[in-house]
Amino acid sequence: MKRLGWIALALAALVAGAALAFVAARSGPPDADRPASLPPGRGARWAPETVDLFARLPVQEGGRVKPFSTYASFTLLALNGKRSATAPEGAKLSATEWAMDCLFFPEEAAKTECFLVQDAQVLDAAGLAHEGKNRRDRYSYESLAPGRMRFFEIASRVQDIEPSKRDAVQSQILHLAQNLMRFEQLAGSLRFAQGTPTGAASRAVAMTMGADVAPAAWELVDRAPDLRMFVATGGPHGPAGGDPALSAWFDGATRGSGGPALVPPPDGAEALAEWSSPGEVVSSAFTERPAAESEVAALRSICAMAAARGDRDAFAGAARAFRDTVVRAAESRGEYAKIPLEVSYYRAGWLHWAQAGFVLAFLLAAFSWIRGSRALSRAATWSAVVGIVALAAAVTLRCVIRGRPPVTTLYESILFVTAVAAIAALVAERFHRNGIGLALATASGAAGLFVANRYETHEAVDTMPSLVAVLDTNFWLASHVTTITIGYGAGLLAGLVSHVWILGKAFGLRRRDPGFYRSLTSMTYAMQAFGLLFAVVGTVLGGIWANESWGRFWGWDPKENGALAIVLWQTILLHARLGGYVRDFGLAMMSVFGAVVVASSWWGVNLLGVGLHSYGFTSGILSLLLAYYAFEGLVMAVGAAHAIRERRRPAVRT
Amino acid sequence: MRNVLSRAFAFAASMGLAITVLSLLLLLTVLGTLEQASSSLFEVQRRYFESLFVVHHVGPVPLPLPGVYLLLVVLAVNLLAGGILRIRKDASTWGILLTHAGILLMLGGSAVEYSMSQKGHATVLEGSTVSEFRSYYEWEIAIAERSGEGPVREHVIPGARFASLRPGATAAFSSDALPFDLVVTEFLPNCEPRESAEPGAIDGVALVRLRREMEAEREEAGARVTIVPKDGSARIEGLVWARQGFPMPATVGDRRFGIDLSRRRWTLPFSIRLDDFRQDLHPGTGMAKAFESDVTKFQAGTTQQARISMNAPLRQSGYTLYQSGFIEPADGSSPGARWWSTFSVVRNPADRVPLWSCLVITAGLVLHFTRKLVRHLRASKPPDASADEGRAP
Repeated sequence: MKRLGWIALALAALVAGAALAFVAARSGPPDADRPASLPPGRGARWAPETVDLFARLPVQEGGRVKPFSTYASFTLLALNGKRSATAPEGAKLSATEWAMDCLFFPEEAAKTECFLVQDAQVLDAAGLAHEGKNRRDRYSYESLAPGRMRFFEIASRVQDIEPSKRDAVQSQILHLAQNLMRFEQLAGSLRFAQGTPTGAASRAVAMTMGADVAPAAWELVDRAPDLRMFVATGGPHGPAGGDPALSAWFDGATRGSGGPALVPPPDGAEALAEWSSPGEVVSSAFTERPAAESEVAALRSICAMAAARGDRDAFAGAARAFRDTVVRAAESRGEYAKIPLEVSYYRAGWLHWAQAGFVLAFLLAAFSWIRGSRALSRAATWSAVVGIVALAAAVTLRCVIRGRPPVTTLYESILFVTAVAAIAALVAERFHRNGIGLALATASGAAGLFVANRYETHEAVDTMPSLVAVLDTNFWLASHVTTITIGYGAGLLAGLVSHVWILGKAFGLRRRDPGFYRSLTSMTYAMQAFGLLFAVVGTVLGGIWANESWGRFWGWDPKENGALAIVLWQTILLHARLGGYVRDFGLAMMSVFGAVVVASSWWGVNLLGVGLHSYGFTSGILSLLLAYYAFEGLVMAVGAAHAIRERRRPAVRT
Repeated sequence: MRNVLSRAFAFAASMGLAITVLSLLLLLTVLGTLEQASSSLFEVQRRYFESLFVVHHVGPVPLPLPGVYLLLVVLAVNLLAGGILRIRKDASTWGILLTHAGILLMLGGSAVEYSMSQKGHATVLEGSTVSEFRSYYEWEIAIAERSGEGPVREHVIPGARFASLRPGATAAFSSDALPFDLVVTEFLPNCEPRESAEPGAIDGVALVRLRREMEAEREEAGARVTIVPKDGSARIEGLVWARQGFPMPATVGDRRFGIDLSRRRWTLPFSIRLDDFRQDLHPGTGMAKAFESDVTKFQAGTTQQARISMNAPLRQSGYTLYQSGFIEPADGSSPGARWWSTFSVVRNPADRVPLWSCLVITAGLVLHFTRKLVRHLRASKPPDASADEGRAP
């Protein structure tokens, strides 16, 4: 009977976990390029297989070749604060669908409310109306366009102000102006395919291609060596001698050159690392060098897609031709191999599964305490294991995709620290079996992934970016960065265990169970020892790396000092314990403060904005960090108040 | 006497002293880090981390504290006395001993580095050769004698002898080889010359003190100097400024001299020619992917080609050259443009000590904590699963 109950519980847990993960995934994971179901009336603009094809297209951005879905996802996240958008008729669009709308239906995309404005005062600054809208709401490009120039003017002035001295509205205006430009670049990418001059309208076209032709854009690019002499840059009113119609088309085409770099360099040009946007191919063909065959083929497919945008089948055929052209070129350059893996990484939603696993484990652990059920406790453990496995899979896949060690950015450090804390807590549970390790594994896992998600949304940039030159060394990244972040994880976990000790004592949890508190102290000590080992080794390795890169072992840089502060605090703590200066209570209080030291080293020093670790700077975390400090201060105050109360209590002689 | 010595040793070896020193080190690390938001790293280093004492201001209240150097000396003594000599020596403390030895080794290496290292930079134009490097922060005054066609002979006064002059104080320098004494009457770490009608101006020009830079290497120092001829002839007053580009001329008797204020220079025992510099950017961005310099090294009649890049320095004759930066010429993108490459140059006899100490410390900590873990596992009873599992705390 018991066994049956256990199986039923496991099945229920599985179903609940799957449901949680599904809900989490639907709330906007990075794989939000799955085809959305469209409401009746809108018409299915994009066939699911075409959306999938686009998701897997390679595009170069931020110094690396990535899937189009990744590009679209982070672009939309920056504009909209989430990875999906709602079309005017109410259909939910995935990031890839939204980006395809921008490319091929720019006039429709301009109506989509995909600009998140945090404060309506931003609109007031440009004199735009916002009646009927919330203070924080979403707007379409069409509704913001009248204030466009005003936004750009203000943003230009704001850029001259030091970031720390900008007020919230100024920062938001700058952000909105950047997003408007980003949208314009994306939506204007295929401008080259429009307004091509006919032979009747253009003397140049008539002379070189025939008086009665209406050439497509790619044909003009193909004939650019013959036509370039007729192009006067600066539009129809440019220098004398230019063909007005041809020049006007060229001017429009090159104004759209800031869009995504979809076209790989031509075959045999391995030395060229930079991909081109369609507009850049046009510009280059008329001003620098003739377009290569593969580039013309790519433009021909894009023109065909633009021409067939209302016809799903014809569009799909043109899209396949485009895919074949660019994927072949990317493969020959060795830049395509990881694209399918990255698409499947985001689609699988590993981090959302991990989060669901941790949340479910936490709930099961809580119920197990209430009901005293061993089966629930086991289910909680297995759910936490699922969370850890999913998180480890995500970290591993990221390593494979980028060919780098697990921690190269602040975002990745959150994932790694979370994994370390959760694994260490489960290992502690294995030894102590008091339920606390399990609870902390689930809580730290869920909280860490929540912070990672918030950070990713706040920054809204590719979380697998290119690295600056000094970081381009897998050996030091693997040794120093990985080691020091393990130290962070252990220090934070020791602080978490100590929370249980302090709050448990203060609120009378298991008052008659001294063994419980002894085991917590033992866990804390073990975590601090483990943390000290990795913090010391990580810090010294960082110094050795600095010695190899810059010629100095120690430079008193804020980030270095932060790591040193962790080492010093953990050393003080362990010596104070060894010397008998502190006992269990002191160890717990010092460990909570140790977690504050870790948080300051990990995040706090980045706020100073000085030093050589410039890749670690971030903004917008001050309030979160202050809230964390306040919470830890409160915990220590509760602990101190309890200690004073205990000291005043008269001793009872029995 | 023996009692006093033994009490002194007990104090020097005490755990209390270790905790106090470590706590003060932590406090100074935090204060020095926060100070970097408003002062240059060089200044903060000088005040907090390379000093015996520091006065930190909490608002208007001065807070005197020991400097990091003093604390590190005390820590080294404490480690040696308590962590090496006094500590019980048996199998249970081998790890601790090893760890303490590793930390002592690191502190020793730091002391060697502080007292004996030379750190600076050399900026070389493609096709050019360099055989000296300059300090980032230290200054020197060089007195060069122009003696016709022969080599120029220089007398160098290191900045340590005049850079800390207090207002109103002077520093005089004399040499038997020179027909005059040089007196520095004022030194300004960051200044610029401006036209002035003030009484102290020389030929209508005075040095005006500027605010200290956040990056001290950007500062341009200046000094007011007086040449006092030994033959009793008229004194010559003048100004030297780091950016003036030419030495201050002075004629004493029939000998002509040039007096120059510049960053401290050191001569390399070899020469380096920059053959090619390359900067690779991540495609489509302005972010550097790699910098590298192809160089040719000339030493004692031999030549050798080498490549210096980020994380891959060139080590030669006790000196290490690191790829540090570059200067792009105005026509940088044209094929024949010549770029400058900047190398950090370091001479540090204790260069490898951090690596050795890291290995020793790691071995010590692993040994100690592994032993403790094994003991803990052996000592702890197997938990009574049926009694406790699944209970709320």
